[in-house]
Amino acid sequence: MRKPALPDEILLKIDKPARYIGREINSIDKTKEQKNGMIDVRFAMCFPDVYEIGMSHLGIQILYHMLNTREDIWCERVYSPWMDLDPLMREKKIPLFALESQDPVKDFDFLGITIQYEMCYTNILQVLDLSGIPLRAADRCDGDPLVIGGGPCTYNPEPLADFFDLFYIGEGETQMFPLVDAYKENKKAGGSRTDFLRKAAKIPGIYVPSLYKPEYAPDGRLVSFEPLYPDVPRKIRKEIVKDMDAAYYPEEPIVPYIRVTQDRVVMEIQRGCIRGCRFCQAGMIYRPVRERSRDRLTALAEKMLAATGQDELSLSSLSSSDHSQIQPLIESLIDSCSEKHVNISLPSLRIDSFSLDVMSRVQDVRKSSITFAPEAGTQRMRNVINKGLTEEDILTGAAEAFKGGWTKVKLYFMLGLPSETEEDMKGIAELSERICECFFDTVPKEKRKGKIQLTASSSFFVPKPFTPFQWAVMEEKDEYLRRAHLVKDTFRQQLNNRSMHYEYHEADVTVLEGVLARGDRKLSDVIEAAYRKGCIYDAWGDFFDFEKWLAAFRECGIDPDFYTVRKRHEDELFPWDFIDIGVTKAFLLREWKRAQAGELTPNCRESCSGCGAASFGCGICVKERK
Amino acid sequence: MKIRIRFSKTGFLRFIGHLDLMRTFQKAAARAELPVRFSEGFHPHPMMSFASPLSVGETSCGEYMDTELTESMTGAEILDRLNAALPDEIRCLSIRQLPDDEKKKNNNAMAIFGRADYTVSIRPPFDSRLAGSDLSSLTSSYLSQPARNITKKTKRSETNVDILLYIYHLSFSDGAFQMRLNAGSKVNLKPEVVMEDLLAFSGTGGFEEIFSGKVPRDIWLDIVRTDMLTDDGVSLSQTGVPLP
Repeated sequence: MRKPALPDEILLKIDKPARYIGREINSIDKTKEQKNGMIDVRFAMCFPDVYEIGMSHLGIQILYHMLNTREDIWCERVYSPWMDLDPLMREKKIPLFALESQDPVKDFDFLGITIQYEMCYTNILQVLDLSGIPLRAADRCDGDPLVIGGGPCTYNPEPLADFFDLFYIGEGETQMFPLVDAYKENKKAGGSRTDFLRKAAKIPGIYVPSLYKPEYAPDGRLVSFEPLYPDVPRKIRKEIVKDMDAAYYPEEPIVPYIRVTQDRVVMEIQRGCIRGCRFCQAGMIYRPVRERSRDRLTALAEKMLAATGQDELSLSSLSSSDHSQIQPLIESLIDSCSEKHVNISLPSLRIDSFSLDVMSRVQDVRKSSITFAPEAGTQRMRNVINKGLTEEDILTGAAEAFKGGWTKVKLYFMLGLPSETEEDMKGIAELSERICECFFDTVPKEKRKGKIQLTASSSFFVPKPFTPFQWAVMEEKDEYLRRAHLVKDTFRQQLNNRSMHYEYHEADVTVLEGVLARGDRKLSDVIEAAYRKGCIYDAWGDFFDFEKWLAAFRECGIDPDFYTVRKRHEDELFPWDFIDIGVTKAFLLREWKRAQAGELTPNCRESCSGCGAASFGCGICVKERK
Repeated sequence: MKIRIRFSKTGFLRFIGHLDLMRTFQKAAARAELPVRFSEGFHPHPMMSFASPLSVGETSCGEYMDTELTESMTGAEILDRLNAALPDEIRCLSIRQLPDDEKKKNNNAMAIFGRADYTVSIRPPFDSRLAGSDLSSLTSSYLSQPARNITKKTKRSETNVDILLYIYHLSFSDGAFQMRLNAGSKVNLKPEVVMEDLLAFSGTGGFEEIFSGKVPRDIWLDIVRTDMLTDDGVSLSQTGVPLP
């Protein structure tokens, strides 16, 4: 029997040792199948955060099982050791290991890292460091694993460029096998690491940062970004799955022993979003919207539940209500799930009479809450961000929910959106107040079961690459806090203040996220300096230390304001402009201008706005519209 | 149909806690498509109850779980289906059928469990400190003491108890200590407590770090729970009636 990489004395000392032992149902142990002789490529797939977060991520589950369908590949999982284990591994010199084989990551051919949010960048360095892999790609040699990044943050990979050998731009299902094949071929031919990287650069969607050279103006702006060799492509076009029904989807997902964040079967019903909210990166980079068919989904649900024994099924998408078959799909799932004692959870469902009816059947109305994401407090601001949700929609939905017995309401807002005025800020509290009043107007006194409890929370807006707001100017930390306090004061002045609770996110995390989101290659030094100062788990409020980050910026002679509060010109070359997401820069600029004029743009189902995603020739772009 | 299943928990899975073990069984039963009865109410859950939690780090070949099926099945089929669905390091070993008496709620495994058997060995390098001692006669002279009073700390108070009253068996054979101790909801005597007191009694040196609590239980002891029994000393695997 394999021995755990961690000795008993450590496993018994740390919190939740089950994070590190693997062996979950449906995890894949190829030594058990006696197939080790056939394995040519060992792939370590990493989510650089703690097990419970990483195990809840769908993308890794898809790629893990897809890669393992091939007999010559063994893909295993790696997560960040928690803060109690990290110092013990350093002290005892135990290298980071993959869960299935418990073998050191350093012995693998590939280390794939999914990069889901900016605040995990130092955790990536922790994973490399604990694995004993040089942090900088330039310092690695033939025996080291190839470090490849994927996920939404790779739509601007530049701040991390020095730490990765390759990035995969786009959806993993399409080019992972060609990439592995190219690797095998190169190895067979006796090719070196550099030989392979040069070849990989020609595979669609693959970006090899060491083969490109950025040049900067004296003020720090990027002025050119060119490949070093003529056979390396100037532009990298994102990869996408064209037919969701034909695409691979894991029918036997892993069942963790310990309770993880997403402790249920997750079924992705569609990819992309028709809405086009101007702040939303996912809404642009995953275009065009592509659905899985109802038949495929009902079959998938049955198989996944049978293979896992999970008691909850969650439908995943950016906006479930926009799936063209959502009503019949949910009806049939409710029928088949209730006999198996399986609950259905329906995040991202718009509040209307249909969704309220569904929710009243699958949830306990008294305990559950209804959620709205108006994002902004006034209609003017909602038009600026192209959030096609009116106050009337919200109040009608809320009134229906109150009649149905709900008393708990959650509202999500953003502060610091472009062109925001005090009226927009106050609007957050005023809209919340009108929802409270709607409760008292709708539900007569004798029928009230409990009082309305409204929670409004706001995050500070961070401009992201490949959105119409990529040109937007951010605010200083103190200005964010001033705005949050103004909202809080306005809440206090409301009649129903006592039924409402307002909370806002940290402002310094926002500033850092803003720097990294639209950053360039110069930031690799800052990220490494911050890591050397002890920054890890920055996404966890308990561990985030902004002072250390500021010290890292000073040490590297880099001004964070350059990335946040500087005004970017319309024709500025962005570090991420070498990536082609289908949606054109011209469209984004048009949308930026329409935002400033407060003009709404129709969603993809209403009419085509010519964003450029039609060049992929799939999804809604080739379907007939209503 | 009410049933009682004896199972083992070994290997890596000694690092899985009790709540996670319960979830593992619930999901395995669902994968095995066993017709487990669910509770009533808005959040129905499968009716399963476990005799007693096993400490993280310990292994066992004598754990018990009671459950109820809505259809009758043969014992062999239940065991086969569950074992096919469970991880390798949890094995269902045997099954008994329990009387279907609704009123007799106090006959579940948790309620009738009163004693437990353990096999305990001292891990290297700590075991070398006992090299040369006649452990077999150590156990008999320990048991022949009039009383062994130890201080038992609970959250609220400290009490003095004579632990010999709760040791039904203690011997040394095949390189390990065998013991049968009082267990369950009233007095739950833990094997490490007995081992510590036995070493103190032996007067052998070299165990100071253990007495001071510096070395956690699992580092110096290998504890296997081998069975659970009723107050009358009947193995729970012999309660109820056979279910072929």
